[in-house]
This record gives sequence, C-alpha cells and structure tokens, in this order.
Amino acid sequence: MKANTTMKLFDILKQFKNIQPDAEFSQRTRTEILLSPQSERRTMRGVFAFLHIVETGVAVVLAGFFILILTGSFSPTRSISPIQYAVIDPQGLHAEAQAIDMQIQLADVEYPQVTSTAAGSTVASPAALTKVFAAALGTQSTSSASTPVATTEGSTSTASTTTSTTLSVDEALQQLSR
Amino acid sequence: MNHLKDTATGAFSVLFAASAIFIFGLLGTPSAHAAECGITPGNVAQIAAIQNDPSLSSSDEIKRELALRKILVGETIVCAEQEVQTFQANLATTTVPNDVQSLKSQLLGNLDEASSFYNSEMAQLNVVGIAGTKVIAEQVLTWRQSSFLPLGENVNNFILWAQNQNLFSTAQTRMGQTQSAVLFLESASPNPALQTAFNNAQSSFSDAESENAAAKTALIQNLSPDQSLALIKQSLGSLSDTYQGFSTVGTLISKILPQ
Repeated sequence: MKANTTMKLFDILKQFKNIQPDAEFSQRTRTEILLSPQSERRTMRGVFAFLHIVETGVAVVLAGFFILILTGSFSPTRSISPIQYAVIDPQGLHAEAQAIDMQIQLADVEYPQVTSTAAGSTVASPAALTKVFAAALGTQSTSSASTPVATTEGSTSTASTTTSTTLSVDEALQQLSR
Repeated sequence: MNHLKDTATGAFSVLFAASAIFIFGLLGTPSAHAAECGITPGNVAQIAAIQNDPSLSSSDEIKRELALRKILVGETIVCAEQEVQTFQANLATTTVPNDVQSLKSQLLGNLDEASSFYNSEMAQLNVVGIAGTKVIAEQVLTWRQSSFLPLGENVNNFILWAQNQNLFSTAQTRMGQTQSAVLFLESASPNPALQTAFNNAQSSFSDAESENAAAKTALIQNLSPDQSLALIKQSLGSLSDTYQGFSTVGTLISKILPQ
C-alpha cells in the first residue's frame, strides 16, 4: 500500500515536468524583464568609453610633444626656465626701439622752430610758423621770402607767369593786408 | 547817351563776370582745394594787375579789386578754418589717459573758439570795403600769431605726449621682465657686467619717466609750448637710451643662457 502510494507520487512529480506557463504570462514577463532598466551596466560602458577617448587623446598629445622635441621646435629649457625669453628677443626689442625713434623724428619734423629758438631766435618767424602748420597738415607751402609776388607796375601778364606753388594761410594774409 | 551808358554797363557786366570766372578758375572751388589752400602768389598779384589796368575806369577798378580781395581773404579764412578742423579731428581721435581728459576737453574748447573767431571775421568781410579787407587780413594774421600758433603747438604737443604713453607702458613691461631675468641670473651667479648694464637701463628709464611726468605737468599748466616740447623730447631721448640698455642686457643674458 505504501509502495503504491509512493509510485503515484513519483508519477505526479514526473507530470510536473510537463507543466508549462501560460503563453500570455510568458510573453508579459519576458517583456517586463527586457524592459527593466540596466543602469549599472550602461554607466560602466560610458565610463569605459570616456576613458578610451582620454587614453587616445593623451596618446596623440604625447606623440605630438615628442615630434616637437625631435624636430627641435620645442625647447624644454625655454618653457621651464624662470627667465622670459622676450627679454632677449632682438626683433621685439628692435621694433619697440624703432617706434621710439619714429616719435623722436615726428617731434623734430613737426616743430622746426624749436631748433631756431634754441639757436637764439626767441620768436619764430611767420614763415617758419606756416611751415610748421604746413608740415602738420601735409599742405604744400613755400616761403614768402623765396616767392615774392610779382607786382611789376603795368604788368598784366602776372597770371601767366604764376607758379603752381601755393601760399600758406599766414603768407596770404600778410600779402592781403598790404 | 543812354544807349552808350547801357553798352558800358553791359560791357562792365561781361568783364566782371569773365573776371570772376577767371578768378574762380585760378582758385578753384573751396572744397576742391580743401587740403592745400590753393591761393598762389599769382592770385594775389591779380590785385596789382587790376590796379594797373589802364582800360578800367576808377569805379570799375575799385569794384573789381574789392571783389577780388573779398574772394582771396575769404578763401584764406576758409583755409584757416580747415586747419582748425584738422586739429580738432586729430585731437578728438587721440586716446588719452583719464587724468588728462579735462585738458583734452579744454583744448577742444579752445579750438571751437578759434573756429568762432574765423566765422566772425568771415561775416565782417561781407560788409567792408577795400581798406576793411586789409584790416581783416591783418587782424586774422595778428590773432593767429598771438593766439592760434601757441594753441596749435599745445595741441600738437599734447597729441605727441599722449601717443608716447603706449611706448612708456611697453617699456615698463619690458623693464619688469628684464629685472626678473637679471635678479634670477644674479642669484645664480653674480655678473657685474650684467648688473651694471641693467642699472644703466633702469637709470635711463627713471629719467624718462620723470621727464614724461614733467611734460604732462607743463601741458596741464599751459606752460610755453617750447618748454613742453623740450621735456617731451628729453623723455623720448631717455627712453631711447633705456632701450639701448635693454639691448646690452639682452646680449649679455643670451651669452649666459643655454641656446
């Protein structure tokens, strides 16, 4: 009797192997599993990708650095040195010195009367003054002393003998005040 | 008689018109000669030509001389106004340090006054005779020599000084860099020649700065333009000496440092 009961139990248990889930249940649970978040794995994948990019970048930079050293375009002593090499840059120094020379020349060109004042003349002559302004303005000017107006009496041909030189403002005023 | 009078008047009108065309032809339009002020000795000599023209009656001679003088004096004043405008434009576009902005404004105001003076003289020109045009020419000339010339020189000095400030700023930076380099090298291995060269550069720069400051004071205090200019030139000379010192220091450093 007892053995018979045992046999039945085994049969029942064997039948359990044939138990299968409902098709709808299988579908639903599979979908839920597949749709469940897998954040940990994704984050790890992003970190690895980032590290890979960094690794590539470092490799490229190092390669460039060594190329510069090999070609002599980069001098480690200059970059690491506490002395700024601009101090001994002759080109920069020359350019700055040249700018100063230009200013000195400008001062000399624009103010010729200073020289004459220093030489003893206390007041600059009108002709000198007009030269100053002519120089400052870039206008054409001639000295009134060197270009006296042709005022020959009875002459009507003065216009035809006129030179193309122009009078400065002060020279013109001087002549027009007579 | 009337017929003769009409003929004479017509002839005079034609003559006057031809004369005016000739004069304007010589002078050109004011705008065309804006930069060079096209009055020539020949234009002025036309006054004598009119005075000595036997074909002109006395009244025609006076009318033509007056017309010519007004044109010439007017043109000259226009040229003078253009000078003022040039000064104004140059000054207005000059960048100056904040502590001298008021001086810049003051000079611009003085130039405005100069422009007003010329406008006033130009207005008077319309209502004067031959003698009046001579007086106006003389007044403008006298005023220019007593007032406008110093003003123009002051403006030029101020612009020159303002332009120099960038040079001083650059030199200051270079002085700092040079000083650091010299201090570092001296701490590693004392070099009397290097120290002497640097001291010379430093001394020149100190002189340049003092003279530059004195020039600014002279401009602010409206001292004589010659005084301001002399100081500006001295400061530039000292700055040039400073750069010679920098050059010497640079040569010495480049001998010390590895290439």
